Amino acid sequence: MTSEEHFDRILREYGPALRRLASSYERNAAAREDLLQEILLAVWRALPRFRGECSEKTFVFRIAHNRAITHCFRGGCQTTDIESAAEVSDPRPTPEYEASMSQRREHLLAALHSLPVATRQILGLALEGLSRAELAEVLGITENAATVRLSRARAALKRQLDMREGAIR
Amino acid sequence: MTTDPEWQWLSDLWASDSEDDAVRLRKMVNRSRFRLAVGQTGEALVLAGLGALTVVGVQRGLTGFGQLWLATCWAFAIIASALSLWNQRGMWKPLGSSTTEYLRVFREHCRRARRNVRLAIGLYIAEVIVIVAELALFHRLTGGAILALAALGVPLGAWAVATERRVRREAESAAAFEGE
Repeated sequence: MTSEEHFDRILREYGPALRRLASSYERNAAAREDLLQEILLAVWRALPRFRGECSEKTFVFRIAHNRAITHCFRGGCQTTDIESAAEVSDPRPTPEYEASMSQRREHLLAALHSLPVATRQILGLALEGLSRAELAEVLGITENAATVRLSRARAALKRQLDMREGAIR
Repeated sequence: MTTDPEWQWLSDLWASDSEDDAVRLRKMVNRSRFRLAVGQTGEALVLAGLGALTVVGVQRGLTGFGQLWLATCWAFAIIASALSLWNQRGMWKPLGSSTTEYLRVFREHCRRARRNVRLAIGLYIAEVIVIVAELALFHRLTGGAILALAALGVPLGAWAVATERRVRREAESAAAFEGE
């Protein structure tokens, strides 16, 4: 498999996850596309150096999250009030749409955007289904520390979602 | 990972946004790669331009001030590149490493960026001293020349201030992230 074929497979396998990841950090649509583009380029550039020291999944998520937090350090990823975030990100508040999965995802995203970046990071990884061991590997902390941080992050997310009572359920 | 039904529901909801847009993503990467190539070509062209200027100058038999001027340009270009490389040594950002390791390198990157500003200012001062000395040696030191040299300091100063602010902001954001 050539490196380009390898990258195409990565795009097919992790593309949707990377897009979701970018949306968990960046609320603004244009900035989100820019962030996604930066992440994809970073993955493409780093891929030839992948020597299998960790799983491919861990490697891709490490690059993506490290690139995303750099984006945040440079002024992106503003934390927003959950109510205003939900108002702005929902341009079609029809009754049918209210009930759709898309609407519910918007509420979940709004809740994520109201949390600190480090909390968003661990939640984004956990929502992608990473195990505690994988979380620890991506973040560079012990499994116990990852468990504690995830537990706090989930509680924080729940509090934010409860503020929009009934929106996510 | 969990048996918590509420969390499972959220995970499923999160993963339900799974539009397969590999073709669009591939186009995004190709656009980035094109811009990267354009930037690299631009840098190569600047270097080629300086090389061509040198060749033309040598062929035309530059003497005295012309030779010294060309040598000064090359010397400072080489010094600037060497300082830049020295300041970047070991600074390859390990994007594929853990967040903890990445943050350590990011802090170091901020420290080096500040040092880079000081190096650039130091180099500018050295250039001004050398060029003024050369101009004086060849009796070409005029008010206009001094003004032109001083004017070069304006964009440098603006860049230095902007970089300092940006790096401080980034370092503060990184520290806040670590404290979360």
